[in-house]
Amino acid sequence: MLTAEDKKLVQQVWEKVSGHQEEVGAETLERMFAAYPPTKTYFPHFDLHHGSDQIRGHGKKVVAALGNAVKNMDNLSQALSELSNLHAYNLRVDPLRFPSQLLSHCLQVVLAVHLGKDYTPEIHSAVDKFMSAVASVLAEKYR
Amino acid sequence: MVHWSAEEKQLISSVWGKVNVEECGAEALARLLIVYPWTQRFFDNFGNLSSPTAIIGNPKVRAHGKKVLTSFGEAIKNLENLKATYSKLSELHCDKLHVDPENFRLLGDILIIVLAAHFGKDFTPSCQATWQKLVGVVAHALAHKYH
Repeated sequence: MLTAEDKKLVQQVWEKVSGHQEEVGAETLERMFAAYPPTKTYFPHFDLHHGSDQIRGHGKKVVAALGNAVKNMDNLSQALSELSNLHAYNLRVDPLRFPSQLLSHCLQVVLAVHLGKDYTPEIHSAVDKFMSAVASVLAEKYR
Repeated sequence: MVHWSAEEKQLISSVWGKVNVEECGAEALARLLIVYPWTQRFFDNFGNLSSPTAIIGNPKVRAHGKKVLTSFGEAIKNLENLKATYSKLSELHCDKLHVDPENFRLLGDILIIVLAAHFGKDFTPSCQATWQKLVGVVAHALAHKYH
């Protein structure tokens, strides 16, 4: 469960990301595709080369959606409702691994790369919990 | 048998060469206990684990973290022969320590984040991909003797 302190820490980290949304998003996706090649199966229609416009565009979209989630941490279900539908009925990415483990992990690697020791254990913990909550909501309508 | 390309071996050894095993090990184990608090179940006799500050400062956590990462170093020296290298450790974790192998995966991912924080941009996507493969293979070897 996200405590008040967790929410504060997530907001803090997110402030550091704003202004670099496209970069953070693109790098997260790039790392995910490199480390977990099966995730590419969801993007057969994309140019997956480093720096591709599609990766940048999609990364920016993902980070923007997460930013919206950060603004609405008290009501994730409602804030992410449409995205929940999209993931459950259209995209149908494997809910058990994709958003909760792979994307979350790669986003955290990007944050760690950029923040260094400012990515403290407390912040790491809060972000991990937040991403877990987001993934949970996105998976709500799968079955 | 896992195959390691020359590039992968290079990416592994160049990172490992710069790792302070004591610091990284301590940090990785501390983060495991902080981010996934249920893992504290294996460390009842470690004393004060009541807060992130307590965990980070706990000398038993530091010592054990160093031990774990030192053992990881053995894996790196024996990439062609991991299952044999970890055979006894695998039996120990199953028969005596009763550790669910899922925890090896968790620790592996935490180690990756610790490396990312230390090396910043030098921990490139290719570097991460190679190290994800490494931690996966180590976790697999450690789970191999479970029954």
